[in-house]
Amino acid sequence: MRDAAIQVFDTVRESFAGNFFLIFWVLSLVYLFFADKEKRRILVYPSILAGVLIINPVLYRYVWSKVFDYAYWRAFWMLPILPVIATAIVTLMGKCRKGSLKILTVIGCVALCALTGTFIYKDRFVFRQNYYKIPTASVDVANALLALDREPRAVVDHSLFCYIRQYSPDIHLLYGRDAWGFIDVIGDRPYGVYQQMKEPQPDLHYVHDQMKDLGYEYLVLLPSQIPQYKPENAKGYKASFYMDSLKKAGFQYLENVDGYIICRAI
Amino acid sequence: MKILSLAGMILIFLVLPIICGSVLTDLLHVYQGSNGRRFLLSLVSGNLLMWAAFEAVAVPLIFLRADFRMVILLWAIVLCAFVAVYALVRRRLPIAVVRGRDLKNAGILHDRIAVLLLVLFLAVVAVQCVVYFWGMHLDEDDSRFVAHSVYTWKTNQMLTENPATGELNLNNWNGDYLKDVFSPWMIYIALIARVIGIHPAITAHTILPVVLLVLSYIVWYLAGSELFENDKRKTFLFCFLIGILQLFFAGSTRTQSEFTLLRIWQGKAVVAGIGIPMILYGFLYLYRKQEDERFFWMLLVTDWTCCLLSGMGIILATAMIGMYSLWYVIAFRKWKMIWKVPLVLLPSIFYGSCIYLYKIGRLVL
Repeated sequence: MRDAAIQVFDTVRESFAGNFFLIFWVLSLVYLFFADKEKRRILVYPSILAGVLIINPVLYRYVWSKVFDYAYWRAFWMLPILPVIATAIVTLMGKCRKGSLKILTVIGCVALCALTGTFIYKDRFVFRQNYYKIPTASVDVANALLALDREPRAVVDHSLFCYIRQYSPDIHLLYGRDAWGFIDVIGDRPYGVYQQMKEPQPDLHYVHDQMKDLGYEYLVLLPSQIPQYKPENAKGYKASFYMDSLKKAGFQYLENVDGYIICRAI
Repeated sequence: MKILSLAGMILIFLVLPIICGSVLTDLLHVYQGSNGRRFLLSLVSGNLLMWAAFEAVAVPLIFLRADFRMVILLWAIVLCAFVAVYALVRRRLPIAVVRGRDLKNAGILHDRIAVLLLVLFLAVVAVQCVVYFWGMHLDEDDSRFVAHSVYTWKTNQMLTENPATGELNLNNWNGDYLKDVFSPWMIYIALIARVIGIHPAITAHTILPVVLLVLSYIVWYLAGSELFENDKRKTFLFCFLIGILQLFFAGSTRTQSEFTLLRIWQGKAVVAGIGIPMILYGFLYLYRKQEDERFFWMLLVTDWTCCLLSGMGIILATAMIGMYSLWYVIAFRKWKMIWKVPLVLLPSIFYGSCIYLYKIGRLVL
């Protein structure tokens, strides 16, 4: 039971890291309990009941850990944290008689939550590159592959594989996000290729052989992954810099799209 | 094409939900004297009803490896039949509308403070919609959800591929793929994309977030109106505060607001942003108007909707409705209501059982 309690505590700590909303929720419940009989009946008691049942080591051990598996933290969504805090602020404001005091109360409470919280958009949004809201490089590479083949079968750099199939389902990949161990387990050979492609300088001979065996034709990689790559050549690069080393590994250089080299396994 | 897309959007995001929702609110006798709230509830509940109907139609057809167009057709027939039967029986079609006269009677236009608070609230929502429309947030989970949508939209096949690679995956519904079969929200996105004629990635990342966020705040407005007995000033302030607080309820990637404001197009985020607030609102309504028990049926629709949205939605809806019903039954001595709780949870119980039976190999199709 001690382990369950520790796990519950850790999950709470991790889930509410970066803000004090859980504490504000408890304080709001205490305030509403004494301040408003009606809210106590329709909001405070059900919230307390939910809190007691959700943040509960016994139930965690026998129920929540079984049904939620790795995502026990999603159970915290059932706690009405924001509505309780907002209701407490509105009720507190309602108790103030002077108009200026009402405004100050609301501003003070909001400022407290804002200053102790984390701004949600911080480093999370960038201006869209296109309406698909996927990196433009993945759209351009996808279009280049589709211009080469109706249903191209490709191995692409890990910075692209999450996005390319959001643009077109016609592109078949040797591995995608499943290589990270999400959702499905991929075969040993695709995983071997993925491991190579993660390297700064992959063994392109190995990649080529696997691709040919598994029926994949196109390889999309960064110029820096090609053995003969030299940073000093990167600025005014010429395709010929890569052609030889790609050819030695069994690939034919096709084009450079948004900084990605597309080549064909021959 | 642009006009057709716009017409499609008006149809699927406005006309259909209002018609379906109006029938539902009329059946449940909700807000008969309040046209504004009835209109908003119709808009939300109409969407929920459309989603629930989609879940009912799509899951068996996915199992049968049917064509996506068949799902669209059956779904449209089910919705039309629902409205038509109602109209025939009641000999009228109740469409909830908001008239200027209603606003005047409600006194909103004469209350400057209420108007100011409403403007502040709408400004916060508008900022969040602008961020969703012009901003780009990359989420790797989309390589599963959106990729499924794009595949269905393009091929008319449903969940028969590995979304990560595109390889055919006809007999391997394991792990999270199994959850997708019972919670095919991504197929619904493909349906929207087909109706409005816009690529599913654009639909999911640019159009849907704005629509879903507005629906989410309508639910918060309805919850606030129940909490503050339709006191406009307090309700608008409550909604404004919810909007502002959401902006700072972050830090870990796990909060409800993170899912609502960063990736609401994903099913689990719709559970966080609309499903759970809707359940809370439903119980606030029941706690306040205890004699009006018909609203339990709205919870049934919400529960069914949560089943469509995400595998986790099935569990969350069950647990939340169970907990809040417990309080309803005990605190308000509604012992006769005990039988209704399992009835409301019937969709969750059914789909949850199917997942379990499929996992242990007792459900084979």
